[in-house]
Amino acid sequence: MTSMNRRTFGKLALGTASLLAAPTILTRNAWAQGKEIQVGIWGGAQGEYVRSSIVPQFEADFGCTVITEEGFTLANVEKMRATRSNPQFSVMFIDDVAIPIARDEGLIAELPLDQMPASEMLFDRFNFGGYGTGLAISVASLFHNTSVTPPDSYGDLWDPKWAGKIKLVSPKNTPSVFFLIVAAALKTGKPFSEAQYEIGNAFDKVAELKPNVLNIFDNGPVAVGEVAQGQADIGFLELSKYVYPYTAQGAPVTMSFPKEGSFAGNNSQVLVKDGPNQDLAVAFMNRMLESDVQKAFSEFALTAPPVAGIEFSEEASKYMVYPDTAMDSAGLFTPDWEFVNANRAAWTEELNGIFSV
Amino acid sequence: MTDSVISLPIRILVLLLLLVIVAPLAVPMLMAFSDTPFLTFPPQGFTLRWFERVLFGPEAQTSFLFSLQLAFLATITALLLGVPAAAALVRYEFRGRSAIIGLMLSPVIVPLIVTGVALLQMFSSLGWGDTLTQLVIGHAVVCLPYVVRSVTASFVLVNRDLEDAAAVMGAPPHKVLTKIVWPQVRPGILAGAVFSFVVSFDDYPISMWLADGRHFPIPLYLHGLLERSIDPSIAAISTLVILFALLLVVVIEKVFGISIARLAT
Repeated sequence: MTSMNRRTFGKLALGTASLLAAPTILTRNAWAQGKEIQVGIWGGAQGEYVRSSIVPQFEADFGCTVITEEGFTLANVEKMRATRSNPQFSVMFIDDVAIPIARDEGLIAELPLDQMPASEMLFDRFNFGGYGTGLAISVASLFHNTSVTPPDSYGDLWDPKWAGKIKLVSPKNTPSVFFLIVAAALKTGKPFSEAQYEIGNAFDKVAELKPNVLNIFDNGPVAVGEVAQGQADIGFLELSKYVYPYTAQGAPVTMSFPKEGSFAGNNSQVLVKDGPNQDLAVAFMNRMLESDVQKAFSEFALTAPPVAGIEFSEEASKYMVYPDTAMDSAGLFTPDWEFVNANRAAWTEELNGIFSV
Repeated sequence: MTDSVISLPIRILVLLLLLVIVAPLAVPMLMAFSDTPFLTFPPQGFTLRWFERVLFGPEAQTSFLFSLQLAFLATITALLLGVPAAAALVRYEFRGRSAIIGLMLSPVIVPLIVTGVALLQMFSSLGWGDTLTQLVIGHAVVCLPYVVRSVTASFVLVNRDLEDAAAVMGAPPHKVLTKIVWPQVRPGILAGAVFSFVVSFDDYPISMWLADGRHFPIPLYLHGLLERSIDPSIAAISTLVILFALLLVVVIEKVFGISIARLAT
């Protein structure tokens, strides 16, 4: 007899509950029979779970077809732009950073939350102005080889003892914005919420880190694997959803949370403006927020749900900051993305100038 | 040149060069046997379970078979378009010939990621919903330059005197084509087909824009696996792809009787 792991259990629980409710659901959802929607999802563990567990159950419940297409935030936004005249997607998964951009370009529609009963449990902070909801919350912070004692403060990473031992996140990746906020906070002595507006004056602080940087990484899971193998001592910085799957499998790598605080990585969903079968799209988005789906999804991907009222096992709780009060206690910070988006191109250019060979 | 005239220093240099080329391929092949739940080098322990997981995993199988199907269809399409185009470009002088050559070779010059998003935009504007058709067209576009270049080179080298002689001796056009022209251009067409197949099979940037969950080529699957997998499955599937490429080379040499060195030239 083999032991059942948390992922298998999650899928089994979700499947059993849905099977018992099947006859009622099929009658109630007759309106959706034969309809089809295309959903742009993420890659990685989250995408795998959506594709292999959530979508098949949703298709069975609604008698519909959901075509998934894996991508990442910037590519998904570009797909919405490219198909704007004749939208192919109905729902798109993107990070919260891109929601203001997509909204301002008219790529996404305001959510009919009154048709999404599961959104009643949504924490206010993950209702992004009515144009998207959170789906999975990760923590962005330092990750390190377990043979290394991590610093208590981000400022310690500028110490020469870390020379050539740090892997720094690429300007291409969203966590690089978090790195810039850290640098600005260290230079100004201000909290993240104020320091984010002073990034433009903090690039001298950024440049001072250069001797300690071994290399720049743009693939989180690969970087985590390299730190686990001891190729670098510490990673500055990455989302927990890329780190904790390694930790949970016994790899010698984990996360640490310096005293200045950490950052929230908010994976979100949006409704594509004028996308096909909007009613079915809204039903799918609602399904993504339902408690049993969110519980299984979170335990699979080791992320925190954006909805209240979910109980997790002690093992799963180790890897997530939940509920919202715990996020506040942990000092999880979400940047002002509108300000960030307006300045990011210039910051990226500065970063490239500093770290290019 | 025979082995006897190759000096020892040259042999050593060639050996070193081969090592430099092959060594990076050996790393994932060795990692694939590591008995650890995450990628590590040098490998620790020995297991074949990652190969078992990949070979019997339905997603990997589906993606691999779909990539074979896609590469085959894209190659056929590129050959159907590229061979007549190459023949016409070599044998006829007409207005706009240079522009057509430039247009056909442009997918090699323009970044593929740009070509991919442009194709997505075009298909969306036209309302073409069939993903397989979109992918075949997209891949054929990027494969076409390889077919045109190699087939053009073959047609340039065709001895026209032989064709004239055959015609004078009474051979009908289809006999001239099959008995005189075909043997001379066959290596070029086969080289174009091989390059086309490999380019399509390896393509990521075009597929990234045009694929969906039902049509998911192996490079996208590998990329996804790299994002989510922390175990040596990715090394196992990389090993299988490398072995597949080697098998392809052997098949071409043994079945078609054309050496890779000849294809390359």
